[in-house]
Order: sequence, then C-alpha cells, then structure tokens
Amino acid sequence: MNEAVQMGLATSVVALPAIAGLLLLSSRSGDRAARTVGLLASLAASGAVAALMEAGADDVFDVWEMAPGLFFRVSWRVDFATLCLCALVSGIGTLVFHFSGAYFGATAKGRSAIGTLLIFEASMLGLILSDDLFLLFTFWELTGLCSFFLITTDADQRDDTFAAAQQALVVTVGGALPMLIGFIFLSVSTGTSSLAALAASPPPLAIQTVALALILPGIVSKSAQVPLHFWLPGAMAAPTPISAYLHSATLVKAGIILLLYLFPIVGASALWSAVLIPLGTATCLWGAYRALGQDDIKLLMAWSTVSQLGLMVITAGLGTDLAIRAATLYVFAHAIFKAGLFMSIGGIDHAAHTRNLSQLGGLGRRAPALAMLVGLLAGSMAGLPPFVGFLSKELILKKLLMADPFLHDLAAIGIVLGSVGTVAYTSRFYFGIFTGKPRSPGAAQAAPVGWNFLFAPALLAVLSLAGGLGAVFVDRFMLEPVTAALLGYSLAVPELRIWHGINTPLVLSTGIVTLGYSIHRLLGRRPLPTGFLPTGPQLFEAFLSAAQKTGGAINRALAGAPPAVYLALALVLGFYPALVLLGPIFSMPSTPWTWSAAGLLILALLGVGLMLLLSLQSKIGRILGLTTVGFAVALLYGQLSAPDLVLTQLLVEVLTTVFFLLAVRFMVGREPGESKSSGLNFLRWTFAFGVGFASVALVLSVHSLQSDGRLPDYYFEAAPQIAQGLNLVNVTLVDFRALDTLVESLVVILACMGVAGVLTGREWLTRTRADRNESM
Amino acid sequence: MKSFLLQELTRLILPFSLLMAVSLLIKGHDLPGGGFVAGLAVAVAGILSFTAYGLESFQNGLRVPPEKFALLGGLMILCSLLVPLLLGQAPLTQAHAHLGADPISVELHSALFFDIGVALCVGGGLASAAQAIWATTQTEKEDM
Repeated sequence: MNEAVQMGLATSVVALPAIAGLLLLSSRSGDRAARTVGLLASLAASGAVAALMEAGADDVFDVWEMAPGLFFRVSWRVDFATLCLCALVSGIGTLVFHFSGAYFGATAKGRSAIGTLLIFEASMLGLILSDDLFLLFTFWELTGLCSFFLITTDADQRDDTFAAAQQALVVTVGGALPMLIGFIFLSVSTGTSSLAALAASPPPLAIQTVALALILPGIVSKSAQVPLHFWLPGAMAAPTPISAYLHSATLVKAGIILLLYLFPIVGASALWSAVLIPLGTATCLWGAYRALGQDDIKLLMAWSTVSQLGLMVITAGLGTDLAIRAATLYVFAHAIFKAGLFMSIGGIDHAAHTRNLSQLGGLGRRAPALAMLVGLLAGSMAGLPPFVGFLSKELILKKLLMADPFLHDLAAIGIVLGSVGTVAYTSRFYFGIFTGKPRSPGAAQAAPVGWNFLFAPALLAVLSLAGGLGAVFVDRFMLEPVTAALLGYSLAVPELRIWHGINTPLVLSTGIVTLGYSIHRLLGRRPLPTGFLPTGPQLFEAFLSAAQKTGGAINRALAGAPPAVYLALALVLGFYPALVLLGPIFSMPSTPWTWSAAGLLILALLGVGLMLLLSLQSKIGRILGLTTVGFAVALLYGQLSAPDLVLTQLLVEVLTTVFFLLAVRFMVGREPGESKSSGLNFLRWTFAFGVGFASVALVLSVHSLQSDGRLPDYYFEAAPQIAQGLNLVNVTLVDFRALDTLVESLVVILACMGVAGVLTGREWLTRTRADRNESM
Repeated sequence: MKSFLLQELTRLILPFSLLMAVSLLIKGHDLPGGGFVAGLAVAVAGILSFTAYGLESFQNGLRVPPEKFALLGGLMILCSLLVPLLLGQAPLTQAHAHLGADPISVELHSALFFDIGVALCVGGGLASAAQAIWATTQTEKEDM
C-alpha cells in the first residue's frame, strides 16, 4: 500500500463519519435510515483503521498546510497506538449506533442525535489522529461543542438539560483556554507544533514545566477531575446511548489520551506527578463516595466514571513508562465495560421504567440474560478475575509496589481505597438491581429485554471476558505495540498473565474485593449522606452570578463616566505597558541634526498651530489649530519625500476636522462648563504632559532600534518582481503584509458600525422612553 | 439650513473627487495612492454631499446604505483570503496577469480586487459613522 493510499485512508477515517453526520443533520427525512447510516459510516471508519493497521502504517501524513510559517497544518499521525485508539472509538461507536436505533426508534430526534453523534465521533477520531497541536485543539473544542448539543437532546422532555450542557461547555472550554496558550508556548519555544517531532526531541525541562502548567487545566476539566468534575454527572441529562458513548470511550477519555500523548513530551517535569497524583486521588475517592450515595443507577455509573478517571490520572501521574502502560490498558478496559454498562442501564430503564435502586430489585429472575451480561461487565469494572478489568488493576498495583516516595504513598492510598470503593458501588449496583424482591410494580412486571437492546452490551461483555482470558495475546498484539508506539521504545517487561502465582498484588486484590463487598453488605441499600458539601453545580451557579455581578458593577461604574475617563484608561492600559517593553531609550546613538530652511518653516507652522490650540477659547478655533498642526505634519512628510504619506495625512486631517466639528455640534449645550477645580486641572495637565513625554520617548526608542539594513533593499528588489508593483507602500499594504491590512480593514468596519450602532441605539432608546412617557 | 453656495460647490467638486478616488485606487500599485486613500476620499465626498443636500436626499440618491458598502468591502477582502486557499495556495496570495501584446497591454492584479475591498471598507465605514453622528445632532437640534 503506497503512501497516497494510506493518507487517503487516514483522512477518510475522520471524513466519513463527519460527512454522514452532516448528511443526516441536513436532510429533512430519513429517520428510518439514520441508524443504518450511522452504522455504515462507523463501520467504514473502522474498516479504514483496520486496513491501515494491516498495512503496518507508521508515519506522519501532511494533508494540507494552511500557510507556510503559520502553525496550523492538517496532518495525521498514524501509528499503532493512534490506530488502536481509533479502533476503540469507532468500534464502540458502531455498537452505540446499533443500540441507538433500538433506543430512539425511527424518530426525528433519533436522527438528529445520531447525526450529531457521528460528527462527535469524527471529531474524536480527528483528535486522536492529529499530529498538529492546533488541529488537535480544534477537534478538542469540536467534541465539546458537539457534546453541548448531545446533552440537550432531551430538551423537549426535561428542563435541566440546558443548564447541564452549559456547565459542561463552560467548564471544558474555559479549561481549554490556558491549554491553547500552553500549545502556543510549546510550539513557539520549540519551533514545531508536530506531536511526533516534539516527542522525538522533547523540549528543555523548564519549558516542559511551563507548558504542562498551562495545559493541565484543559486536561483536568475535560477528564472531570476534582474540583472541575461536576459537569460529568450533570451531563447524565443526555439519553442513555449518548452517555454510553460520551462517558466510556470518548469525551472523558480525551484528557487521558492527551496525557498519554504528552508524556514523552512534557512528562519529565516534576509537576507531572505533583499535580496529577493528588488530583487523581481526590477525584478517585470523592467519585467512589458519591457513587455510594446515588439512588439513580445512571448517576451511580456517572460517579463511578469520575472515580475511574481519577484512577487513570493517578496511574498516568506515576510518570514512568510502566505506569503509562498500565494506564493505557485501563483506558481500553474501562471504555469497553463502561459502554456496555451504560447500554445495559438503557435496557433496564426500558424494561422496568425506572432507574432508581429504591424501586428496582429482583430483575435477575425476570431478565436472566441481562443479569448475566451485566454480571460480566460489572465483574470487569470491579476488577475481578478473569476479566480484562482485573488485568489492568493488577498491572496498576504491580506498578505501584515498585515505587517509594511520598507521592507514591498518596497514589497507593488513592488506588487501593478507590478500588475498594469500586467494588463496593459495583456490588451495590449489581445486587441492588438483580437480587432481592422487586420494590415497585414496574420492576415486578419488567418486560423482557429484547436482543436489539442486548446485542451491543453482550458483545462488549464477551470482549471483556475474552480480553482477560487471552491476556497473553492482548499483551503481545495490542498493549506492547501500543505502548511502544506511544513511548517511542519498547519495554522489556514480563508478559501479562491472568495467573502469576500467589504474590503481593494478588493478595492486595483479594483484600480489596473482600473489603469492598463487606462495605456493601454493611451499608445495604442505604445511600451514603451527600448533602454536607456545596455541590459543584451550586458553586458553578455562584460563580456565574458573581461574574455577572462584577460585570454589572464595572458597567455601572463606567457607563456614566465622561469620555476623559475612557481616554485615560485606554492610554494607561494600552500605552504605558508598551513603553516598558521597549527597552532603553537613552542608549540611542546620537545622530547629528541637520537644519534646512524648509524644515524650519514647517516647524514654525507647527508652533503656530500649537499656540492656536492652547490659546483659543472657542472649540472651533481649537479644532482649526489642530488641523494646522496636521497640515504641518503633512508638509513634513513632503519634505521627507513620502508622497503616499502626504496624501494620506491630508485626507485623514480633513476627515478628522470634519468629525471633530460634528462632535462639537453634538456637544453643544451638554458640556457642564469648564471645570474650575484646580486639583482636577492639575491632574489633567500632569496627565497630558505624561502622555506627551511618553509618546516622544516611544518614538525615540523605536528610532533607536537597529533595523536590518538589508530589509529595504530586499523590498525594493522584490516589489517589482514578486508583486509586479512599483509603489512600495501600496505593495506592502496589499501584498507583503496583506494579512495586517485585512485585519485592520475589519477593525475599521467594526469601529464604524459600533459608532453608528451606539448612536442609533441611543436614538431608539430615547424614542422608546418618549413613547412610554406618552402612554403613561 | 441648506446653503445654496455649498450645494453648487458640491455639485462642482463631487464628480472630481470621486474621479480622483478612482484614479488613486487604480494607479495605486505603481504611483502614490491605493485603497485606503481612495476610501478616505470617497468618505470625504460622501460627507460633503450629505452636509450640502441633507441626509434624506443623500440616502435616496445612494439607494444602498453606506454600511452595506463597508460590508461588501469586508466580503471582498475575505474572498481574497479564501480563494487562494481553495486553489491550494497560501492565503492572500496575489496573482498577476499580463494581457495583450506590448503596445496595447493591460496589467491585471488580483491586488486591485483586494484594494477595492479596502476602499469600500474605509469609505463606507467612515461615511456611515459620520452619517450617524450627523443624524443624531440633527434630531438634538430639533428637540431643542
């Protein structure tokens, strides 16, 4: 398979689901076909991934570069690790689409949900395959945006969806802002934005630390770590198939996947363990505690996801290649059993018409097939042998025992207690649903769950079991090559096995399971108390209203302020900091002054204009003084033989005068008279002199900068050749620096529209006020 | 408060100022001038005509409000950003064509398209802002 074909395949992995999703969203009909379209697109993406795997693709494919010198490229990093992750996402996606068909039926809502899910899948696949940091960031934000629409799917039935979606969006997008700065910092300081290139030659330690500090908020918010975890349980407002996808293999894994990608790049920083382990521990324990306090099994599962994400972050935070290996296995194991469990919850909900533990019970007799496959999945979650969940937990424990210092003690506490919690809430979940007596008529008369609902979870359950039993094969054909691709070298470690003989991890595992189950027996069906701390959503609401109050206060303080205050603020905020950046001004080389008659005349004209400006009392007179100064400057440009500047300066001067005259008309009769307070006048004088001196200093300092003498020569030579123009000023504006001109033109439009908008808005306001007064 | 003298002067000056704007725009690539200056000239012409004839007849004569010209200019500029991208080149790449043989030949620059956009942005934007200020002061006067 040649390179072009591989590149095309890699692109189609992302493009196929995206196109299918857009088709579904833009079509008016096709409710019935939606499931098939989703299935086929997802299968096709999986097929492309499989073909790439088969071909042994291991390369970076540059598809498109926006502009040479700017960092944004569309390029795919195809290696065994990214392909395996893609296979996970598209494979579970396929099952989710199968399940969605059963869940939604042929409805318009189902079609739009499946369409959005397809676009979400495409962005997730893009995130995994991106080689460019900024392309990755784009996909990262796209997943967040799609999740917003996915969470609001049920907006017609429940009214909490919008708040939940808003929380998820604000938290993850807010966290991504510093991450973007971190990406910019990383690529500017190393000169490349390619993940593969960065991993091949990691930046110096100091840069690693700064970049990591900036990137971490994005990861912490996306992977729902304490204290930014609360959006995840809130996102349970989404229908079950969507939760099954978002909270197993995709959205919440984005942060963990980025951690795995970043480990070879910034993992050497001490910050890595110092931040990730405490955060992960807190998340793991708090998630487990809250899971034990839920009545709704879907919320229980959401909190368990929080807890397990914490576990993954701790493991990755241990920061050794073996820990990365363990975290990778857990990412896969968790995606498989969690997707299956969420889908089973959808089945239970459909059968018993309730998701509350206090109303369920005894379903084991009515739905034995369901009970069996949930048992398999839950066993994997609790880390029981012989499931794949057991393997990964074993690996984490083994890794843990190799380490020593304090942070590792903390990690050990987190992992062990978290695992105990996992066993406890898994028991609560499983036995609460399937054993005992039915606690509501719905549960007692639960309809049998159809195979349409059971197929996808059953497949995942079998996969969990097979993964555990075939540990040797999982290791040899999946985990080992994936870790080698992630880290760039292969680890020589003993193979993964289900049975290693009686050793410390096994003893620990047994202890964990026993303790967890005893906690469940001890608690029975009583939920743990939860109301003693302010919840995340409450804090979020408080934060939002505080932000609005602050904004309102600033607005009220400034809305009635005279223009002078705005001017002062703008000058101080915008002007003085620029001065600091400009370095020493007194070290400039002294150039001899040359005097010419024409120059002196112009200077005299300038002086006259200034005298007029300062001495005249009438506003019109002052404006004319200002205009005189402006024309003098235009003459000065003429003296320096810059005809373009003369033209521009003259026209600008005319327009400024006109605008000043208009503004004076506007101010007639509204100026409260000159301020007589000498203190205020003194302040004004000081400020005026300060700004004047500052601008002179700025001009001088710019003048003192040594410019590269070759630059003008280059432009003189290049302008006729490259741009086919003789006027260097215009050629620079429309060709060499056209991007600057573009942005400036847009600023001009915005500013003018702003003026027009404010004034017409004001008119509108006075008119409506007058109307109201009349009607009263 | 329409002044006869101003109206007659405007009638004289307006065509020439617009002509000057166009010539500045077209010649700008080789001689002093360019889109920004042309835009300023157009804005001055616009302000002159509505101060002379009043807002209403200005707007009626123009038919399209000035802010739409500004938006059109913005669109043209964005086009010259996007079209090269679609053709597989760096954004804002300018193209040149030399048509005809030497005695009668025309130089075509895509930069002129960009420059017209700039001129529309500046001219339309400034005229619309000035117009809004003028309208406000008129109503204030009437109120008083």
